Amino acid sequence: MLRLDDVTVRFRAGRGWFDAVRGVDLEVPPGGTLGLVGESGSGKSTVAKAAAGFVPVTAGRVFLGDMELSAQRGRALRSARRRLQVVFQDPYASLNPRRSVGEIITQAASTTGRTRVESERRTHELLDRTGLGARAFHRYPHEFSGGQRQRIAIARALAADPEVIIADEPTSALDVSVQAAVLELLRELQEETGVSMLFISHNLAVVRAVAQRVAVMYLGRIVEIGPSDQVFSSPEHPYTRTLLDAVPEIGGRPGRTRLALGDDIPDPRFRPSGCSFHTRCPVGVRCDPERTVCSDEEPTLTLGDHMVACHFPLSVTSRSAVNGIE
Amino acid sequence: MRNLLGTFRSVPSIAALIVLVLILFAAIFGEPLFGDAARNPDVLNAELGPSLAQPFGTDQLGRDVFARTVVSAGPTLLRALLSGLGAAAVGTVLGVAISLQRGRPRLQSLAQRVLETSLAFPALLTAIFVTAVLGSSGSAATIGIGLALIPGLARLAQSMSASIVERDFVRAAEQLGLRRPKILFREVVPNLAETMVTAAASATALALIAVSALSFLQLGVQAPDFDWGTVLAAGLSRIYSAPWAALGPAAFITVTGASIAYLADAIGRRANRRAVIAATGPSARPEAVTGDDDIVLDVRGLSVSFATPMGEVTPVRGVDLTVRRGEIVGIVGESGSGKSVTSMAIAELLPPNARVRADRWTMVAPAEGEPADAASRRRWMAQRIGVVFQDAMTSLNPAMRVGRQISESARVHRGLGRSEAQALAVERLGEVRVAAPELRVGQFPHEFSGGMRQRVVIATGMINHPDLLIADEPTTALDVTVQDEVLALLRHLNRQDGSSIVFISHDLAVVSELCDRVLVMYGGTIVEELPADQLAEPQHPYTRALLAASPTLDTVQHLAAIPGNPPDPAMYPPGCPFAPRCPHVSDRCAEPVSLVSVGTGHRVACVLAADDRADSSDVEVPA
Repeated sequence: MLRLDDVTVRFRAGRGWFDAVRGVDLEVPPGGTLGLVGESGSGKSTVAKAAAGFVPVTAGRVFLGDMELSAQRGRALRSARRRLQVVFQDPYASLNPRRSVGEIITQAASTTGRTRVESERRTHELLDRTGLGARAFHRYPHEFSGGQRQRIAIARALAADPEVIIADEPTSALDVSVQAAVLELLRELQEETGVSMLFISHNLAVVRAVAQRVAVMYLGRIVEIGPSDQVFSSPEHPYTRTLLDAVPEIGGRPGRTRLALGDDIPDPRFRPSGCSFHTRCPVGVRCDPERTVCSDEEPTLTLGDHMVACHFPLSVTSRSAVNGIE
Repeated sequence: MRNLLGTFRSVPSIAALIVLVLILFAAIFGEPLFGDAARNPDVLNAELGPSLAQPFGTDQLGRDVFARTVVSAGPTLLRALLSGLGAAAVGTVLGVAISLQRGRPRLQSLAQRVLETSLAFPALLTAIFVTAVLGSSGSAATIGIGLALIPGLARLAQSMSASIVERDFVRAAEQLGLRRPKILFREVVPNLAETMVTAAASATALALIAVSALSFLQLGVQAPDFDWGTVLAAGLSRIYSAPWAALGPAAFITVTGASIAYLADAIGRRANRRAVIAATGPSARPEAVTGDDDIVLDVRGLSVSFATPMGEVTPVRGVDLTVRRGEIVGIVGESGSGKSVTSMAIAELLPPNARVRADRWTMVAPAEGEPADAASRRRWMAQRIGVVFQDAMTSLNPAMRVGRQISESARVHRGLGRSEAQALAVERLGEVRVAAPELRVGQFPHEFSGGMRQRVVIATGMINHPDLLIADEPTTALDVTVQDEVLALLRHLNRQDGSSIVFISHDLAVVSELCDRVLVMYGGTIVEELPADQLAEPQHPYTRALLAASPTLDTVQHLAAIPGNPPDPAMYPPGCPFAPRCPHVSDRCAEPVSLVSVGTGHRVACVLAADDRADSSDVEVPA
């Protein structure tokens, strides 16, 4: 549905430039959800902005269905953008405080060519479906809690009958008990409407709960992508493994061995040579001086359903070697 | 509307309103009532002093100065309004237009520079210049003043709308494919309106003074027309012999200008008023005891109330908290549960409108005990308790070297000298495992990464090696990998010096990994207390629901949402605070419920658990 083809996004930093996103290929399956995870500074939010057209794509192409979104201009772009809606992180910033909930959603519904009456009918359907109720129509955003506001934002996104929804950290500002309800709502609505979803989060457990496929980003590159079940249960990239190991669990996971990271995520303006992760990697050249390929050569994604960009993926590296390093 | 009325309820506001109503009357009815007296010369009665019929006396041609002042209220106000409101309208359009040129950064920065340069000229000078060029007349003065006011208003509109167009709701409108003008008028302008209305009113007050000033300087209205400025100028030549002929019109200008400015200010204040109300009674204080050395802190029945404009709100209601030496106690809860207020009450860091009450509140003191006077008491407390805040970015001063920030408390409270303090900062920074601490103390916060910055904040909290470290969501803003390191560091510090930690978090899993004992808060009370290793099998329906709602890496089953929202601290239900959302709710939940023991170190505040215990059976609380 939504496809990113070798997308690079370059930003100005002082006098120089740096690539916040570098050569990313992604495909959101029709009717499915692709999760995108990574630490802050990994470029995951920039991917979302580039896909939605908020920041220009420096190189590469963004496709929505058969149409190249990144090549559209003017009127064509305006009508194309409607097909891809965004649910933002902060429900306090994403709703215009001066307009009633009814106006907000009806405006979105009318962009599909509905008449005023049809748009209002659709708005009432959505208010009912998202559990807000008909009375919400004439009320203003400040009268609602964070969780309810996020439901309003979801209703607005759906009102435009999109083919793809980009959800950028949609629950990270919410309480856990409210988060569960919003995630369930997104999942149910997806089943009903068949909308595809790109779901971005720093919270791996949340992505695990909603995404069938997951992509892991590090310093602007996809380092691992595959079916959620496989990526979460048997990660191939040492970075994915360290991310998963760092997630706290109630009672702790039995037999859990941790791979420790060196250092913090490097400044994206000064990308390390070779594999960007080699400065922190627990299996690469930092821990095994013979593996100079890590700092010399940038690995490319393997082919297949479960892809990894690593010179020494974990399934190939023998268990004893990993344990020895720990 | 009621809000707007509320704005004008104070005495000065009412006075200003009355003045403006009177002036408006003068502007409308002045001409028919006093037109003749103001215009017809009466040379026989020239230069008379004030009398009842002519309170400001008469001018050189025998015309009534009071009548002239009243009659000229209309044209003066009209010119002030035209230039003030006109400038506001043009300034708003110009400012918004500049902020929308995001796609053309060169044009935008050029326009901004032109604006800033024109702001550097004094407005009155610009007005005088433009008026002189256009040829002195009333209209020229109006245009000149209007032009002079535009740059300031445009600058305001530009910076306001620049921040609005970056907001997510404007992004959302763009994503709907709406046209630019529609986005502008529906999304941007309504959010700008309040500020610009206030600014327009202030500009009108300024314009009133300026219109009068230009006429006074003979640059504005020319005879035979007249306004406040020319009437004032005519009177001023006789200021020593007939002061009222000048003071009268001067008073009109001043009072009207001040009234408009005051009301503009009142409208502006309404937008961001924040009432500060004193607490309703004295706050409890911890008492120092030299007794059971095993217990660092012991609080019974801790309640915290805040005085607010809507009345007293009590977000913490009867919390018991005991911390033993070397223990890590977790307080877990959602927003509004009272967990942060509890921790800030213990650290005595609540704002002045808070009132803290406790049945018993003791801290273990060294043998010499607690000092009596307030100053040394604060010093003593600062050394017993250290605090780590959530947001390392805002709790550090960006303009101060980290070494000074870490050791500030030691310098203030222990009177350490500069070099001693610096040495101590280096030592603490090393303890929180920052490499090369002797170099890092000389750096500024922005030179540290997020995780390293949080270490600096922890070092600051640890500076006096306190008995108790209070950490309020110290890892919430961090990535999981960095969170993992910070948790490991806290565990290490706890084991190494045996300092106790109270760890506040919304995350059950984080608390479970770090803490020895966990208190679950909901609605300002503790609903469950249990050893951290039993968190996987809690008893209170809320804790169970929270656990079922938390996504984990191993589960892909549907998450069980808790219906409803967490309670508002201003409206807690009388009985169990969770009752409105609880699946097991019954009539008995309307009664207050207290913690009962259900196992070793495990207490639950729920009528079902109490039943369980009364039956002394092994039946579990139904899930």
